[in-house]
Amino acid sequence: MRARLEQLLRGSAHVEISGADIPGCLNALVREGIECRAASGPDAFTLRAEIPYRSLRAARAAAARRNCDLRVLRERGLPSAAKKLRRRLALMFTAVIMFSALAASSFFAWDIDVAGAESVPEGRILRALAEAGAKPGSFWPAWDADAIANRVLLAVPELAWAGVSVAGSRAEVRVRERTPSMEPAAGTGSIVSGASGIIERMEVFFGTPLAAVGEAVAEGETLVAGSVTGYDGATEAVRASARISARTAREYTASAPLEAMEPRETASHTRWALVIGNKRVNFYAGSSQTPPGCVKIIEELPLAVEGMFALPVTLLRECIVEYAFEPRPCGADELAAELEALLAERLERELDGGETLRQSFTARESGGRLYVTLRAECREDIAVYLPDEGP
Amino acid sequence: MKKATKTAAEISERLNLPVGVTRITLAGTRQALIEGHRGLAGYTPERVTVRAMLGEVCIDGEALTLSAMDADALLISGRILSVTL
Repeated sequence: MRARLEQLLRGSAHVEISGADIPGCLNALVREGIECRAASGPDAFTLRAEIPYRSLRAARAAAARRNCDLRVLRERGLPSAAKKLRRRLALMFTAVIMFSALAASSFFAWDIDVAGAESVPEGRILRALAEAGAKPGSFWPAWDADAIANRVLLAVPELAWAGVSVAGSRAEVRVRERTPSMEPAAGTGSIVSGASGIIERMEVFFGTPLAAVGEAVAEGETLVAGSVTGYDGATEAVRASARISARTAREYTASAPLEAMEPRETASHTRWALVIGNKRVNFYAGSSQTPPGCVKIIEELPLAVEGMFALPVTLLRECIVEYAFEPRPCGADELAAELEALLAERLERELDGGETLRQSFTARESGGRLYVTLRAECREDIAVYLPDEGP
Repeated sequence: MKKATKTAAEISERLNLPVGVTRITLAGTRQALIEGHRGLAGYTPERVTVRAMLGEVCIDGEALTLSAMDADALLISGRILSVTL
């Protein structure tokens, strides 16, 4: 590895020597102190060898003295590359400009990422950051991270902590949201039945139970009153709390047309745009709005290396696809299976921790539509808190 | 200069090292290292002739190449069939 690197730095030239006295020429090269490597030849009058790049001129002279012709086949390494670049001033100039622009751009934050925001919209945090001076394209060495974090915390009270860090031209803002208060909820109210069913188990934490295990209750019926009676006979309004497990019956129906409208691509074309900072340059005429009945697929090609640097230049490739909708008959069995899956998902979602004891599906066709009904017997917590109406 | 050569010869003699000879080292039939040569007398992919202290060394083989060559040593690679002194 080291030898290869050394060879790359020193540079080498692959030469072809042709003449009557090849051995004599090689001896002459060696006498000049030129080291020859990988010498081979197809015949007695031609020889190809690798010599150090710096010895090229001396080798040519030595070969000429032996009446041999030396031709350079290939040059490798740093010295020959530098020599070629000397002849390409425009290329060098462009490279220098590019590297300078890259170095300068790393002092500007072109990409600001917000991490840790769950309920607070990212846009709100970005606006607060922009008001604090941390906006895309700003000179980040002038930022005061603590001052920015404080201003963001003031602007967004839902945040408990904020931290700003910069890596290259990418700024990362980490935030932590305030956890909700654990104080008990205020107000008085009762527990009512969220669904019709037969009560199997009652755990009343606060309030006066109005129903008992084994009773059938209707949806909306009060199960635990939000009042308690003291030893002195006085009644006091309280916030009722209970967990009431009941056996319930649920029925859901879903329907879908037996003939679906399927989109078919009729035409498509691609257009390009360039975004420099906040400015957009369209390389097409007309509006950038998506025409009706079309879908626009945008591919962003930023001038950036992920995690290292980002320049404020993004090439946009917009593919406009036009669709026409055509009717397509659906298989009743496949459609029924899809609807059953949807209904099962809905049941699981609405049970919210409850369990399904039994379930069955029925399907029927009517008016060009397929109707699938799910009937399920469930065990669930039917207690729903209903606050008292104000005075 | 003469004195330095003489001193080197004396040291070599005391250490029982050969002086002023051409040394040929064969690494199997793939490589031959010739140290202390006096130049190349002929080269073809089938035969390499090297001038030595006392005559010529002829190496016959197939696809012979001069892997490295400087004023003192010569490394020949390829399929070496014979070495003739």
